[in-house]
Amino acid sequence: MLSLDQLLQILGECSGDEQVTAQGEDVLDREFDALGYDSLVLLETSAQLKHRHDIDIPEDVIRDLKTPRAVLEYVNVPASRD
Amino acid sequence: MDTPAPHHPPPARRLVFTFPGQGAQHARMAAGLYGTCEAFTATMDHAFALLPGGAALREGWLAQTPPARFDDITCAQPLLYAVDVALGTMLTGAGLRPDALLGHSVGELAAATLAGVFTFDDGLRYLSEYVAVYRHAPPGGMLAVAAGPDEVDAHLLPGVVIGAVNAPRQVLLSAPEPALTRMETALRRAGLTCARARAAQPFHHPVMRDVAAARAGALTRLPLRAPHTTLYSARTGRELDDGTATDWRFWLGQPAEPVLFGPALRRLLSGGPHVLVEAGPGQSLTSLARRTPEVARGDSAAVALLPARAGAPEADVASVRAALERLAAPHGLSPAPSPRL
Repeated sequence: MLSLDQLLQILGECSGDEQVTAQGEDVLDREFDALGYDSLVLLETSAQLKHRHDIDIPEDVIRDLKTPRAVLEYVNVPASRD
Repeated sequence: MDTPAPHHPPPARRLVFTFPGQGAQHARMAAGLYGTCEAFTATMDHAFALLPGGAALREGWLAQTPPARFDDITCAQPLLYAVDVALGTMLTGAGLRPDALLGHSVGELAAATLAGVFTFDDGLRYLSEYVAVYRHAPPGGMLAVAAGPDEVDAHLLPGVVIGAVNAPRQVLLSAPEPALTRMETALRRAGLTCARARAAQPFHHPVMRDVAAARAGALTRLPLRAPHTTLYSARTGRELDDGTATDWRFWLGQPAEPVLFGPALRRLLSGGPHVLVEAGPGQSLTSLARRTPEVARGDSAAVALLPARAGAPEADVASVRAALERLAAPHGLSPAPSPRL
């Protein structure tokens, strides 16, 4: 299981924020574009998820995941990938 | 009894237009405004009338499937310059008066045009001469890396330089081929995340100095005037003084010098609350701005005029309308700015 806080922590670190700026449930459905996370940050996030949590999100998949909720659902509900 | 806290009105936010450069171009960028917004359309048509091969550029811009050479300097740079200036002109025409301007790479030429350093006609002439010179650059490109300059520095192979510092953890490397491909392989092997930027030449690399030197005199030094609006430079990382702005050596040197957009943005934001409006295709600069502590905390704000990626023409219009509505509120502009869409 990956929690929202863990995901936001990684996103913050990958984008170079010293503090995690995006917090709380209200960011769940905000698009990464609107949070300032561009495609390079998302690629780096996918690399860090693999490295730290052994979670594999292929590059072409993470490109299509637009919100934190979409990432968490992809990661935490493997059945939905069938 | 509690004394009510004295009411401090929020400090006025300074309005800044930002202009993206190479890499931000995409098929039909901002084309939804063409034929819909009068000021935007007139500026684009003026550019196509003056640029050599203007008709072909227009066709390539409007094509659903862009030409193969769309990311090449010959196509991308004149179109980016024209679209950036057309959007900036649309905003000023709608009644927005920027307090400062900041552009990334070729976007700095658009910022200088809006600041009155050179006219749009002179900018178009410079750009066509510039394209005629730098199209002779060796094939190469730029590579975005999710790391800071110090971390990347340790990995640099011979012939590869840091071409742009965009954010604490985003740099663009620049190199001719095959050095760039070798660099990409080495970085991936070292576990760094990287992605090719949409560029076919090694911009902001010292090799550009040799390219220009081999064609000395091919670039006309057109009249320059001191900026009438504060101009921040992504070349120097700070506000541009009049002496530098009116020195052609400064402008001619840009293709060979690194872009310090990240440091320039941080310096600008450190001066107080700002509203940044990205006047160009995509949202790359807005994305960089949203990651700064000033914008993340809400002291400053970043608004993109256009959608993050290519979409239907109506999406461009809807996006500009929404951005202008957002801008009308903090500036108390009455009536709300209208670009006559």
